[in-house]
Amino acid sequence: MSARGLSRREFLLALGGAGTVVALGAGANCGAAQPPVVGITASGLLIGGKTVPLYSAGLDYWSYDPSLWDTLLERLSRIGINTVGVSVPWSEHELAPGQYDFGALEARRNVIRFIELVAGRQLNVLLRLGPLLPSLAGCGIPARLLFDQRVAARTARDTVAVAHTPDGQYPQPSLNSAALLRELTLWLDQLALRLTPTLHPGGGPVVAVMLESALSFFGSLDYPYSTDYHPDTLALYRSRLAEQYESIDSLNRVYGAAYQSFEQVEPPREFMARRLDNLPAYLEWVAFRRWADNHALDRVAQMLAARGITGVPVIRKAPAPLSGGPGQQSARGPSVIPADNPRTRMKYVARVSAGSCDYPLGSALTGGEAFPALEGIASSAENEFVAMMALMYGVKGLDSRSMVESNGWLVAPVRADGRVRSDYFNACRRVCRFLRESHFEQFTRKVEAVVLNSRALDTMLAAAGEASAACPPLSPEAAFIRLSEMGGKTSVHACRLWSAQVEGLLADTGFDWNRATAGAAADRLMRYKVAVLPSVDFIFSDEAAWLSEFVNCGGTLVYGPGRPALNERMEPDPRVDALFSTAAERAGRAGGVPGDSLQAGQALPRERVVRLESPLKIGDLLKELEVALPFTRTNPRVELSVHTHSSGRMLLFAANSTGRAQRTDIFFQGRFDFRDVLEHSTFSGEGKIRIEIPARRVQVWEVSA
Amino acid sequence: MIARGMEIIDIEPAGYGNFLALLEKLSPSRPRAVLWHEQGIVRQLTLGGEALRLEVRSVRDARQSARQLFAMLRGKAKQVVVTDRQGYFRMCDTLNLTPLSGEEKYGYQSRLNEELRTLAGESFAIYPQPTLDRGPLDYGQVSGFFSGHAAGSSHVILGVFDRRELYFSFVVRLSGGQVEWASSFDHWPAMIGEVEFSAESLEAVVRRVEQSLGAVACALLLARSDMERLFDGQRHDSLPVSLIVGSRAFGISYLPGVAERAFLNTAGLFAYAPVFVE
Repeated sequence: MSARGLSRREFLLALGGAGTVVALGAGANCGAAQPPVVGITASGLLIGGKTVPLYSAGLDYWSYDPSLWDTLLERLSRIGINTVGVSVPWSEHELAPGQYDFGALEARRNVIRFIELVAGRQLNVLLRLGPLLPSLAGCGIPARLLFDQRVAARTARDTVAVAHTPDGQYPQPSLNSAALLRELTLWLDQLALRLTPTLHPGGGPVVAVMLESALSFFGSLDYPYSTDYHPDTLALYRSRLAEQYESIDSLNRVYGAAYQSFEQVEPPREFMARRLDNLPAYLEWVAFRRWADNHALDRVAQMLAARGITGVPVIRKAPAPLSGGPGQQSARGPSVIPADNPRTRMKYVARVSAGSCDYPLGSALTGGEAFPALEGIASSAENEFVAMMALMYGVKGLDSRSMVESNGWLVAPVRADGRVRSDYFNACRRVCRFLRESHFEQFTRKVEAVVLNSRALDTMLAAAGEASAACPPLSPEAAFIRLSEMGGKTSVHACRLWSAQVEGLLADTGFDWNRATAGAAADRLMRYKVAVLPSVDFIFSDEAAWLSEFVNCGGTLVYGPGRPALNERMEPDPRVDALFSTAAERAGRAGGVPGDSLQAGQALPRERVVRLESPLKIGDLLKELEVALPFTRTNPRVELSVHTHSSGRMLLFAANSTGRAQRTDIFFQGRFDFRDVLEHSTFSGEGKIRIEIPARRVQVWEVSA
Repeated sequence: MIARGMEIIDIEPAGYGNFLALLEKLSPSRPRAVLWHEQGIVRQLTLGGEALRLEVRSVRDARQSARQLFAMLRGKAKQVVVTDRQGYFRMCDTLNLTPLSGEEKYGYQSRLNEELRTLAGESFAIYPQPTLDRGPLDYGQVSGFFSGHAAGSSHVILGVFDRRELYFSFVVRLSGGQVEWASSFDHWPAMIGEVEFSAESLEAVVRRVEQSLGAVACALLLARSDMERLFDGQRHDSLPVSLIVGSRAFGISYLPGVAERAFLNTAGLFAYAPVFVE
């Protein structure tokens, strides 16, 4: 068989039997020509040189009678999505160790037949291969493994860590467990055998694969002394320390310890630091857990690649907040934001996603609610508002877990029997119509400022149990040890306040911005004119290096309230010193010529590193730095965001998050024509227009000169 | 056991929201107050995660302090935990009690609560002690009633009305006294538009459910105000007097015994949806 990509029709014909499936896979691997691969850009997938956005809705095929599949797909197609998310749960297909069913025994397990139907409707497929699928009972892992002591994650007290879910309770699996990984290889062998031919390079409809952990240590990413103390995780921790420190003496010096070898190093099991110089061991444990969360998915991605699942992007679901190590997202492939309480934190999550991900793909287009929906169920209008806000603030693709009701999945636009909930269904259709008619993927949001998440602050708060007051309801660290009593010059409270004030003032002034961590933003940092960093007494040295590079390339760094003098090991660091010792106080003039890059080794330009003890002047500073503000408004309750097209056309988003209609004047330079993207009404204005936006509504106009 | 592993589909958005609003009061532990101490010296008091100022300086007996604090907070906290560092770690160990393969949720929770009760001592206490009970009837009563009286497969229907409008509804299938499937009137096209707060309407609902799903054991239509009175956080021995007789509620029971008892258990059953096992 030729290695050229098959047409979709050929693909459908080829899927006539399992033997053909295997042959297709072999052919694709042995051919001489390079198969066409699917790439990824900030606007969508790159397929055959064309940008194709990912607007995806899940459909759990195994939950429905196969006679309903085509009806349900037709409903999804009518909503306007272009991709179907297909989760393939291990627990659903494994009958016993080494015994699998892909439809021979029960037709509802015939994932290949289902993918074939999706292709027949000219829809793409986003394969969700877990390995842990947090939305499913037991994460989609067979019970024999869930209850295997060798697989279970361990607590700091070396007991089995338990997940408590509405469906019941089960031991949390550790993705570092060698026993689980051994079993996973056998499962992936089976999957790859069947799924490789469905990939786009083989002519199939699968354009991307998604991997997700179980929401980052089962939601405990910010609670470092909860899990995972599995022996295999600790071995990984020790080997990582060995990589970072090279010699045990270096580690002993920083930790104030007397270990003979890295094998002896014990991770912290509760927070006992009393002084800043006690912190490094705790900070590194927090950082390790964040790294390990991604590393586990990297390992699965490699396992997939080794089995021929290549040529399509492997999208990793990243933990929130996206505050990992240097180049975490860009170096390891695209990431998406998690379904992180989208209703209440959508603006923040969208900005983080836009600032940190290769392709900001979000779960804002709600396709239902998981039972129990303790926060209540949003109306269809609210869902539409939230989705539009996400698009306004940087999300470029949509991925809904499921838009079809199934067990425990409530109020989806499409019911389990194919009927639709017309209000929810039509709300989703309107959002998709907006995306389609505006050619949203062709626009880029105009953002010239980024507010950085301080890794130092975030890591320190997590280490001390102060990252969140509400959950878990009991946390001893905050009760007994206070970071504020450790003797630092800048209190964490002051830093949090500074950060919140900066964002509040930027919003009031009308600037738009992204959120990112310097390391995670990597080369994306260079596209901003200004980066704003909330700072404490220390900074991760690689973060300082990234920021120095940013300043060298012509960007301006604004930081405060603290002046970092140490690195994360609480040691003086020349990279930290080089960046912050040259800073101009805000009393001095802020300036900087964008794009005016310095040579390596040159002193950093004083005026491009500005310390702002009080954030009150941030708006003025950004104006001095000529950060773009093409539209301004008189009513700060109306939020604006501008997305630009290479042709010069713009999309102007105006949002009213309040519960009452808001009227505002919008000012701009020149004369523009405004066309409402959904209503198609048009008007013109020179210098100023007056608009009124109903409560909880986002309106979008295409603006042209 | 009341729920083994429930299938839940087709629950109308507004009705579900209303159901949650009603059940919000039923959580036995949140908001939770936590008094942290170190060798009897109080370090911090939090309520719902927020620090709270209160004149409590020492802890001699955690069990007594927990009771006193519960009284002092006067209903602001549903549960009080008094603990030192070691108590906290013992509690964490207990909360990670290893489940058995196939162990049902209420069974696990019951075992866990028993373990937590054994932790009580001079340095650690939870007050009131963790329990499965919530709603108008205790867990054992509801569980026992349906296990004993609805041993086969049958359905239980509850509709709550706000004046003439349906406020929320539930239809559950019981098998061996356990809920195995939950839905609402929304599952039947047109039922939402037709159902009324009347005996005739209830009969029509029962007929439709019987034709579609099978036998109905008990069905109850209740006014929102009466449902809220039943779900006021206290235990109740009976339905408000004469609800059925006075046409303020409508019920049909095929279960043995006094019909009012079946209606009370039907209303109480919905406090034990899986959501509130914690």
